[in-house]
Formats: sequence, structure tokens, C-alpha cells
Amino acid sequence: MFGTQITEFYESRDSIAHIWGYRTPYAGEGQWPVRVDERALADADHWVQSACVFCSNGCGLDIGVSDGRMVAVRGRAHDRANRGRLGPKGLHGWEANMSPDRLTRPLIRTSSGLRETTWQEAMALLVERSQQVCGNGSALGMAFYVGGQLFLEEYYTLAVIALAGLGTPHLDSSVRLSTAAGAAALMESFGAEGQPGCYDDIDTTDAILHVGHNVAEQQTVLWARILDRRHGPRPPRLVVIDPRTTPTAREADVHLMPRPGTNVAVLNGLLHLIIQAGRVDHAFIDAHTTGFDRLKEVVARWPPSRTEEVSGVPEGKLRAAAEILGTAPTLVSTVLLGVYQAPQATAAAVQVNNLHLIRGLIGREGCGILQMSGQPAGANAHETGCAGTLPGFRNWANPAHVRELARLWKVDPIRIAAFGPPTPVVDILRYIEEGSIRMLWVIGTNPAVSLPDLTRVRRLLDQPGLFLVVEDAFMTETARHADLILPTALWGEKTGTFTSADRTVHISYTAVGPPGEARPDLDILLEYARRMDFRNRDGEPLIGWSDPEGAFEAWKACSAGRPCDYTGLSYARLGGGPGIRWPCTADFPAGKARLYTEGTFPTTAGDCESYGHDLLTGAAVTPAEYGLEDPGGRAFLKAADYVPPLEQPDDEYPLWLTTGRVVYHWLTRTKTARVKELNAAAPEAFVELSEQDAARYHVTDDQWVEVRSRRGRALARARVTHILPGLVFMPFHYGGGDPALGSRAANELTLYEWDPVCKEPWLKYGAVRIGRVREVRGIARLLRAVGRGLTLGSLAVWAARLLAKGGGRAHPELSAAPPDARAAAR
Amino acid sequence: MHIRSYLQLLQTRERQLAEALVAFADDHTDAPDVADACYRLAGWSQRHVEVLDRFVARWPAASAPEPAVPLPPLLPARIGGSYGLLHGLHTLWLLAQDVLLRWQVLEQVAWALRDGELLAACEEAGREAQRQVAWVRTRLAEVAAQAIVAAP
Repeated sequence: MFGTQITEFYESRDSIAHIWGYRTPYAGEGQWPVRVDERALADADHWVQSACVFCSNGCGLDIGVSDGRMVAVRGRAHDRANRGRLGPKGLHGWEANMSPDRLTRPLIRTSSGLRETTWQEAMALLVERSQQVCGNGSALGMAFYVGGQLFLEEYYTLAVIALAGLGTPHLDSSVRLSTAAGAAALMESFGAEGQPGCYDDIDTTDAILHVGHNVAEQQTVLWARILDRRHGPRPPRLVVIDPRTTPTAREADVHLMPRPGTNVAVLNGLLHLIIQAGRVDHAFIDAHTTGFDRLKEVVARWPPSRTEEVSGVPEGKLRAAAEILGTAPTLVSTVLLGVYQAPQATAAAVQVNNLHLIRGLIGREGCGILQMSGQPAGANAHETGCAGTLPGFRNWANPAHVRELARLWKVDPIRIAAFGPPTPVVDILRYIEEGSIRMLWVIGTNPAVSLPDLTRVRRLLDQPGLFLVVEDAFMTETARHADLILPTALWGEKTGTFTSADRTVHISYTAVGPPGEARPDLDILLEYARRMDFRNRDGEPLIGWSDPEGAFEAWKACSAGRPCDYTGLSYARLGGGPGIRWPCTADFPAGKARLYTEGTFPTTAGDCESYGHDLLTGAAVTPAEYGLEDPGGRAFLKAADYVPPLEQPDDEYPLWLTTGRVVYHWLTRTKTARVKELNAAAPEAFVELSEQDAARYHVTDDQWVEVRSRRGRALARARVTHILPGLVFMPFHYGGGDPALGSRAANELTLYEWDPVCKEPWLKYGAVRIGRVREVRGIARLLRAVGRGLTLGSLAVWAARLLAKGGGRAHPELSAAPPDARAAAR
Repeated sequence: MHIRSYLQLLQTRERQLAEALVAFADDHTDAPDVADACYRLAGWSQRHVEVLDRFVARWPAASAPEPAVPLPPLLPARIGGSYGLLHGLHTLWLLAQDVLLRWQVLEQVAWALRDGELLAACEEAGREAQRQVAWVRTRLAEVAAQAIVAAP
């Protein structure tokens, strides 16, 4: 990539081999020692402030620049998120910016394929098609689907364009696939989003609970902080709930391995033991919550014996976990995809909130709840109204909130698309399928790999009559289906802000220019708004800003008085600093570390972001119903009983499938597959299964296996581990391959089923069967089938192995039936 | 006294609601959230039918012939797409409201009869009927504008 220009390669540590780095033990708030991680391909002329975009942790870093090119990254020593540390993706991932296959010019589809075009022609076409689709006076034919990695300024501009410019509620983000349930759980319990705690709570806490959150591989720097506490004085106890023995689970004092789909049963079992033992804070419950009696009644149905029967978690382990969670004077809980992408997602996430509420462990030091946002700017998608609610955590069903936006944007309220709930991507897809959405604009995300049931998704993207616009830096699997492709600048090539999972806002400055004619997403959106001539009621442009700082100032005005109040922040204050948390106001100029310190929650009818839902059916509470029992600042203790999912393993598909991540990759690998070291560390998809199941289905380690569900099939190598018997795991990062012959994408298999409250798909649940790929008709065919991820080395090894076995003639074939069934058939 | 026949009318309506929910789910398999919700809600109605069986058995058939009460089935239109979804939800709403109203009436009856067991059954079933109505209303709000303005 840099050829002979490499003069001064330097890295402070090998993060591929030693993911979390050396330990720096500590205890106490603000005491986490500095450890600066750095990686440089050459000497930098100067350093530019930024933060990492490879997870929601928001690690501050500086980008080293030499001769107008990125050459290095270095953790910012005094940043509150990382104190100098960076993970493997942070240290390596930036090299993807320099990939030779970056998109550099707009592309238009013609009858003979995609051809390069000018921005002039591309934008003219975009506007022409938008006007056509909106020709009948409504914009319901238009939809936006945006990733979790834009900057706040871009999200907010997009929200104003969609909601008030065009007037379409069809605006959703890929955070719907990852952390919608976390956001929904915060709204159901506390009235509005916003993480109650912050990472500083790790510094002092007595116990930590991770539910469905493989923090060691998802947020490596946060895990380093936890490990440092575990190695220091007064180490916190650690409870992990996860069906896999992840690196996080291996560190745990108590590890509960529930069967897929049974999170609510396990959490109810824990709550029951804690309530039964009287380890609750009655004064807090009485003063600050509503719903305790009903919660107590529902969880009482979950004595340890029944919990064990349903979830497979042994009674002794459940009691050991309840002992820690019921007695720790302070507790930090984190929740992620193992809950959010499983059945009863919102209901389960709410039970973690309940645990803190009944013990009064909220709003004070060491007592954080982190309903994690997973993507780097996922929090901003939620805040700005790109992911299911209106900008500024406003409630679409509250006319007063809509009027506030109308005043701010100087438009009539009827111009704002708030006549119904913002449309989740599940419904956007369905409207595309029936032909009622005719233009889909995808920005910085790759639904052709990330959505469930990919066969259906690919068909929809190619649907006749759909005009598909893709704004991306790379030719992704999704871009291949596009009618118009707009090349964009990446992180480091544009200026903006984004907010981590603990509400810390960072600024990221332009370090280098984008390649070719690629442009920042904000510039594209601003030019679109200009060309569409969106105006307010005074005849002025609806979008009154022309650069990132202008957009940030406009957003501040929108956030004023809401829970996510940014009014005390500015580019000047963020520049040079360690990151600042919202709410940041005149009263809290340094930002507020913890919400709900007075035990008052944004649940009054006039304040709340949502009136809430029936956790089982998803039915919305009406304003009138809410008004009858307005909790007036108390938090909700919402009970949920366990209900078994409709799809259960059976004779035909006897195994559970779950999906997840590997530490070296991010989402669909658009960037990380383009970085040599990261890709080499995890080049291929794999199927993890237990020794028992390996024996049962005659699969050995490293052998190619086929996984089939009612939706589709995928091929990958077997990895035999200590996973729960009856469960197989595939990472969700991998796409590519030839779907007709055998994709590596886990989402070929996943259910097209969604949580009724938050509309997040069940990507971690489904029934499958597995079988060896016994024989193949020629090497070339399987190679096409397994796609581009194979390295030449592994190819050679594989080919040699195949030849040693004498090759084969039959089609890749499944031997899925268990051996005893096959014996019976004979 | 019309207790037995009123219980039976409610049973008929609950049965119709369960059947309508299942038929609606089968017509809208392309809307992935619909089947799961509808099967669950249909399961509640099915259970209510069984609960009512218990009470029907306690009341003798009327000795004198009772006036025939017409109770025509409300069948969801078997149309696909958002427009069909909208109309199907309209029908489900009518059925669910009818069922809810009948449980509320029966609650008064139970009180008048001082039948604590029937009263408890009415309260529980009434809450579930309320949740059925709420689901239908929520789904309707999600699809209404799209179905009428944009759907083919």
C-alpha cells in the first residue's frame, strides 16, 4: 500500500496477538492509568484529533498525517473513554481508508451495467427521480435507510430533509438491527432514552453483570478497563449470561448458559430470588417506581427449578448469580445483542433495568446500566430522529412535541411526517415488495449482508420499479444492486461529532482529503436539499446551514430542554478535550456523568419519548391511557412473563442457531476485510459446535459443513468448542460467496421475525440442521461457493487435503440426518 | 333469564375472532410481525372459549324458546398487500371490540349473580380482549397512510 515510502514502522504493542494489551491494575474513579497505544506506518508531520469508529466505546485518538496521507493512529492519553488505549480494530482499521478499491466517482446504472458519471448528472438524476416519486403530493414512495456510522451533523440534516422537507416517515437506521431493543427498554422503564450510567462506574463498582454482551470482543478497551479492575484492589465480582463460552464468560465468577430464547426466564428467575430474599430497596421502590406488586407476582412464577427446566441454567448457578447481584452494594450491568437480537428482546432488556430499580442501584457512583449502543454513532441516529422516534427524543404521538419541531424549523406542523410512528426497516422492505415504496436511499450500510433472510432481501433490492440509491465508500454487496452510487468520504476525511455508548461526545476533524471525487455525506445531503429547494414558511431555505459546525449549532437548538441537551457543547469546547457527556447545559457545563441522580425520570406525559407498549404484543399505550396513570416522574417496573418462540428445534431442524462477532471484524467487514492484518487474523466464517454435536453429526474440527434452515443455507468450516450442546454459532460478519452455491453469510439462515416492541430482528435465534459437505464436483465449484475470503495458503492446504482424499464426484451434499436416524432408515 | 345463551354468543364471537386472526395471519405472511402476534392473540381467544365452556355447563338451557339473535360472522377481506392488511385489521377491530364489550357486559352479570369465579374470569379475559384491540389499533396506525396513499 505504501510501497517503499515506509520508513518508520512502529507499533506500541501487537494487538492482533494480545488483544487487550498488558494490565494496568487500579481502583477508584478517575484512577485508571494511562497507557498510550500507537501504530505508525511512517513518521507523522502532524496529528489531528479524532475518535475511533469501530465500536460504540468512542476511544479518543489522534490521526497521524504525512504528506496529506494518514500514516498513524495514537490513543489520546487523557480521553475519558480509553486513557490512551486502542483495540486491534482501532489500531489497524484506518488503513481501509487507503484501499485501492475506494469508490471515487458517481456511478449510474445503464442497460449495459454501471458507468461513471459526473456529480452534476448524478445529483440531477437523484432530484428528478425524487420528484417523480413524490409526484402525487406525498413522499410515501420514498425511504431512507442509514448506517450507524455517520456523524451527528449528517444524521440531523437527513432527519430534517426526510421529516420536514420531503415529509416521509420512512427513515430508519441499521441500529434497528443492533440496539433498537436497548433504546426501547430505556423508554419503557425510564420514559426516554439515555444511558443512566457511564464508564466511570466501572472504576468503583463492586459487581458487574454482562447479559448477552461479549464485551471482550465487542468493546475491547472497555474490557481492558474491566480486567484492570479485576486485577486491582477490591476487584468487582463478574456475572456473565451467554450461551457461549466467550472470552468474557471465561473471566466470570459465575457464568450462566441459557438456551437460546430463554433470557426472560433466567432474568425472572434471578429477580424472584432477589425479591424472595428481601434484598430490595423498599424506600426507593415506594418513592421512585410504579409496578412492583405486578413484577413480584410475575417473577414468582419462576422458582429456580422451573427456571432450570426452561432455560437449562442449573439451580446452583442461578442462586450463586442471585447472591452476587442481590448483595453487591453497587452494580454495573451491560446488555447487548445476546438480548437485543433474541426473542422477547425488549422484555428481557427491561428486566435488567428492573434489577437496578428494585435494588435502588441507579443514579449514583458505581451503579450504571448500559443498554449498549453498538455502533460508533448509533446513539446519534437515535438522538436525531433517524431510528424510530422524533429528533431530540421527542414523542411522535405527542402533538406538543411535533409543534416544538414545527416552531424550530419554521414550518406548519402538518409539514412534519408525524401522522404515524416512524417506519421500521421491516416495514420499509415490505412496502418495497408491494411496490408502494419506489425509491430507497441507502447511506453507509450494507443491508444485503446484515438483514435477515438474505434471499428475500436480494430479491427486493432488484425489484423492478425500485430506484435504489447507495451512498458508500466501497462497492459493497448492496451497492452492486444500485441504480445510482454516490462515493463518500470516510472517517478522517470529514469533520463532525459522534457520541459513544455512555453519552460522551467526541469531535473528529478532517485529517486528509477523500480520494478522487468522493464527498462527505453531509455535502451530498446539503446539495440535495438545495436542489430540491426545501423552504420554511418564511420562504427561507429549510436547511439553513452549510457546514458541519452550522449543523451542530442547529442540532443544539433542537436538543434544548430535552434529555439529550447539547446546548453547553461547542466545537471549540470539544476540540482538544477528553470528550464531554450530555446533558451539557449552563447548569452542567462539564456534562453530567449520571442521569436520574434525584430519582426523577422523564416519564410525565408531557416529557416522555414514548407512551410505552405491551411488551408481549407490541400494542402501543394511547395518550389517553397514559394520562390516566401518569407516573409523574417515577420509573416503570414492567413485568414480562416468558413465552416460548414459535420456531423450536424439531426433527427436521434439530439445532439452535445463534450468531455473533469475532474481535477482528466490524459489522459486514466493509472496512476490516480490507486491512491485511485484521483479515488474516479471521479470514473465514466458521460454524462453532459442541463436541457432542460434532460426534453426533460426524463432523470433525476444520471440516467444511453446510448449515441449513427453512430460509436458506450457508457453508463454513467447523470449529468444535465448549459451546452449549444443541447450539451452533456463526459469526455475522461474512458475506460474499455465490448464494446459489453456498454463501458464508449467517443471515442466509436467520428468521424473518422481529420483536413486537422495538422491531429488531431475531438474528440470534432459529432452528437449523448441519451436515458435512461430503464430496464435491470439482475444486472450482466449491471455491466459487465459498467466495473470495479464502487466502491462497488455505486454498493450497484445502486442495491438498481434498486430493489426498481422492476428490469426489457428487454434488456438495448434506448428510444431515443424525446417525441413529440413518441407521433406522436402513 | 338469558345467561346461557349470552355466554354462548360470546363463545361464538371468540371463536370467530380466533379464526379471523389465523386467516388474517395466513393472508399476510409477507408482513413478518403479523403471524406471531395473530397466533398468540388467537390462542387467547381459543382459551376464552374453553373458559366459557365451564360456565355454560352450569346454566341449564332455557325452558321457553329464546329470541334468535343474529350474529353474522365478520370475515376479513382476503386481500394481500398493505391495502388488504388495512381492511383485515378493520374487521379484526370490529370483532375484538364486540368481544370486549361482551366481556364487560358479562362482568356486570357476574357481579349481579355474586359469582366471584365468573367475575375473575371476566376481568382476566376482558384485559386480554383489551390487549387484542390495542394490538389491532397499533398495527392499523402503522399501515393506514401507506395503504391508502401509496399502495398499488
